[in-house]
Amino acid sequence: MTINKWLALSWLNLIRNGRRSLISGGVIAFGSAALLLSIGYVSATFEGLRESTIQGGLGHLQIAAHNGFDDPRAEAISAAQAQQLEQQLQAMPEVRLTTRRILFEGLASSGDVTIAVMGRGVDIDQERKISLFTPIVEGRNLSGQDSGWQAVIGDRLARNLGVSVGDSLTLLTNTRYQGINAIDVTIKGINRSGIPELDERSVMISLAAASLLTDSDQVSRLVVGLYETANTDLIADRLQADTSISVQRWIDLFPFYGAVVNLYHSIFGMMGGIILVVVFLSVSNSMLMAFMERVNESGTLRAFGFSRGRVIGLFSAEGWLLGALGASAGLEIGLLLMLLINQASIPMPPPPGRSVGYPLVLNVEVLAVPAILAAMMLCGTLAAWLPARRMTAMTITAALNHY
Amino acid sequence: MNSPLLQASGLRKHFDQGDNRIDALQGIDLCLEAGAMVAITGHSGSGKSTLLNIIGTLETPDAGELVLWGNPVRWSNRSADVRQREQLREQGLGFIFQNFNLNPALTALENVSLPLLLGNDSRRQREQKAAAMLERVGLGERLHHRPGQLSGGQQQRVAVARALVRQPRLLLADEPTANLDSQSTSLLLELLAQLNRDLGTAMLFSSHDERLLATVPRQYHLQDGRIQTCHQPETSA
Repeated sequence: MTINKWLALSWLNLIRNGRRSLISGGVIAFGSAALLLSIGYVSATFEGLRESTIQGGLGHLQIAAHNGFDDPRAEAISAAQAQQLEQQLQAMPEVRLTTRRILFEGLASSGDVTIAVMGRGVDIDQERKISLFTPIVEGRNLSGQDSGWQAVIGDRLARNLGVSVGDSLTLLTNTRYQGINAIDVTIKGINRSGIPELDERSVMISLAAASLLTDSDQVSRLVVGLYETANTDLIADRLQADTSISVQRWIDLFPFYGAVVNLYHSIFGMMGGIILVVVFLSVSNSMLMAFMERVNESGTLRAFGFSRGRVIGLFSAEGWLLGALGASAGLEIGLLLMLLINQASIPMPPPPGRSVGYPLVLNVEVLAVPAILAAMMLCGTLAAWLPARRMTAMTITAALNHY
Repeated sequence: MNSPLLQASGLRKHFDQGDNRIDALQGIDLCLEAGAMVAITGHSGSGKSTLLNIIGTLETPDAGELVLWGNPVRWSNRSADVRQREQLREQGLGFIFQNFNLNPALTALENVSLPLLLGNDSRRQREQKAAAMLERVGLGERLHHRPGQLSGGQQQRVAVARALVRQPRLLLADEPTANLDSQSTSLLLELLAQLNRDLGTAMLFSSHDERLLATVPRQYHLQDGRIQTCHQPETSA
């Protein structure tokens, strides 16, 4: 009740000085909207990069035999152990799917041209569920109903080999027992991951074809897809109890993500800081000008018996209210802009290391809303407190005679 | 015997203006009883406003003592002493300023309610008291007008209502008619005399306005920081 009457007075001063309040509130609103949009953009960028990476074939977790990630000569996972691990994983409610991969390095020859490639044999049906973001740009993806040995290759590889869909390709690699083996495959589709280095060397064939090619039923990687990315650490911790295997999270397999996040955090952290400083200085300046016109008012209040602290509190409350109102308006405008931008599907150029653009998407970061509100309320309060403190530092008679 | 409402003795105050020292007050002794109506007269720069500011505890004297309704005023900047002066102003002093000093953003009712915020009244009680006081000063029809919508005389009456709404023991008015035309001045003077009679509030004016001085029974003439003469035609203190 006591607080209410002081806030009510601050509110009256605020709304009756409409023009001044509108200018200061407008700056706060603009800053709040800018912060919300920036945070939404960064969040969407992080999420997009993370999920496109995970869904682009990386999975949330990958399991290899002990030291399998560090030593290329390490033994792969035996078929029996792979089956046991799959059963264990499928019993976990957080796990969406598991899929086997056989990785190989070798040569692809079109007859005229031979290029070193990185191949992978995949469980076609399962793989499709985890490689949503690797679009086929020509032909079709592998299918369980395929007859004969079929392959999907990267678009740059196809261009360099001079092949297209329907053409035949010879794949050559070492077998598990250090022999050399080759199979002929038909190109069924050409894909584009968006990572040029990968698209220059990528060959995907069925697990059965890879098993035949490498002359082994061992599994190089067991890829685990989860329902929620947030559960990655939880499942990784559970699996790491088994010392016969090595487990890597998507973030370990894709360290570029951490670098991007750090870079963006520093860029947008600085940008957010600059926005806050600009808002603070602008509001502080307009508050200072407004309060200098009201020095006389502060002297009058103190003549009535209002303490200096009470007068500072009264003026600071105006800043606090201005911060709250300006930020609320700015956040609403920001949310509306987000909605419009998300619906407009504005095309963005490909990010570094990618060859495919993406639509501009802004995430609504729920935690950012109260954080911006609190930051702007603090900013408004501080911007009012400083000039109010200065204003009330003069004697009452000096304040009364100030015009 | 009741103690006087105000007792000042040996009040001194000087100001430095560059290399010049101006002795605004050079030992003022003054005594005021409850319900008294007194004017401090003198030329511009004679120290009238300084004396009123010190009596109103708005300004600190260099020397001398001031006792308000039995409380010796403590002048230091220690928080307890600052608080004492704030409480004396809150509980017993009302101010009318030459330039009215109304908050232009607030209505007449809100301006008059302002000093009541320091009390424990509810909003309704504050508004009732403020409306009653505005009614008393003849502005019952102007409760929701802002200062910019009122004439100078009306604004000063709002200031009178604001000064009296807490029913102070002593009203201090520094040149209250300086910015008013003759008609507004007459109305204000009638009003103040009536409020002095009805409410029993002691009033201390500083003025050199002959129209005001004609209505005030006791006058002290201030010259060169000293009280030179005392005009007291009727009852003695």
